[in-house]
Amino acid sequence: MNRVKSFSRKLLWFVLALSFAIEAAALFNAHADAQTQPTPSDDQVNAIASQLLCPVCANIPLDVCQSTACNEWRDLIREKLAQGWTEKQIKQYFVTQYGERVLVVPPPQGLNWLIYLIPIAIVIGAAYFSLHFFRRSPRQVELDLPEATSVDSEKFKEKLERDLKEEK
Amino acid sequence: MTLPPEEGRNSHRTLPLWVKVGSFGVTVAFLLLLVLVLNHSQLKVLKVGEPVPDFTLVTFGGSKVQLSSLRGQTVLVNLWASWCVECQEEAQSLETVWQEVQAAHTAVFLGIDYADTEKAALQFIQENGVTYSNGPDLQAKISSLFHITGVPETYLIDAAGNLAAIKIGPFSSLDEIRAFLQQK
Repeated sequence: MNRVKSFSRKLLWFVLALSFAIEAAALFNAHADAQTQPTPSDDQVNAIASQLLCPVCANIPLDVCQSTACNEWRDLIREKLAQGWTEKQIKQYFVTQYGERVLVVPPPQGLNWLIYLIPIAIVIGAAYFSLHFFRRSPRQVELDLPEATSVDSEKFKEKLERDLKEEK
Repeated sequence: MTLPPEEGRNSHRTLPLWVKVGSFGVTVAFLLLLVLVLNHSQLKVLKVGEPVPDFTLVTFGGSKVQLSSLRGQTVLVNLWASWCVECQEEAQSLETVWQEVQAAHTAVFLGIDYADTEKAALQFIQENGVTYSNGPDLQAKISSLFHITGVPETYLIDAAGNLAAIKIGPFSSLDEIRAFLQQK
């Protein structure tokens, strides 16, 4: 009986020790994975880079640009993200450093409003002209046509009949 | 055979007067605004002999250098970037000439780092042994004044504050830099 008790106790200690070892190994692996994975990820960097323009190329977003300058800027974004900066803060930093021209979508302020208002004005103008010139209801067409007076109709009828008789 | 007259069929297509006047007014106002913006912005290229607008360079060290405070001295303004391969060799040449003129107090050199990261710029300065004042072109304001087309570009400002010479691209030799400085 004592032997069974002793064995049970040893087994219990063994199971406990094994579970601790497994837990420790799992924690170690998780820590190692966290260290080897790039932080932050390329997707996180590109999400911000896609909203910025290459500093030296013409109108090429930063996320698809392969120049050295673009690589440096992407590294800077990664660095700022790793420091805990938000997307808004990073974009603001780039604007402060390099000006608003780095933004793919300029903020709606000052003369930038023209970029947003001119297309709307063009669309409204085009819609107005289209409506004015092309959208004419059958009723309007009817109204536009000069009214055929009964006198005109009679004259026309008489002439038509006369012409037909002459042809016979 | 006579058909009913078509008179007045197109009379409905005439636009109201207020639309015509309004459209004309809006177009003229837009064109005027465009002219004003273009005139005020970067398209006004600085020419040799013209006064250079004042600007302030905040150096990487944090000190401020104002162009107007350098009146009476010749100022060489070099625009560069760490990602520019040609700028590296040029920076070393400029530094050599800077060492020559620094002692004689005949000119001041200013390096303007264009569209660059501070980390890369500082590494560039260290690697090329540059000692003259250097700072970032914050919000591209200085490069906009000169309407640069790329880097490197160098501008010489005479003692009166007028643009004396322009060099687009890198200097090919030390003598070219020395000759450039003589155009003051």
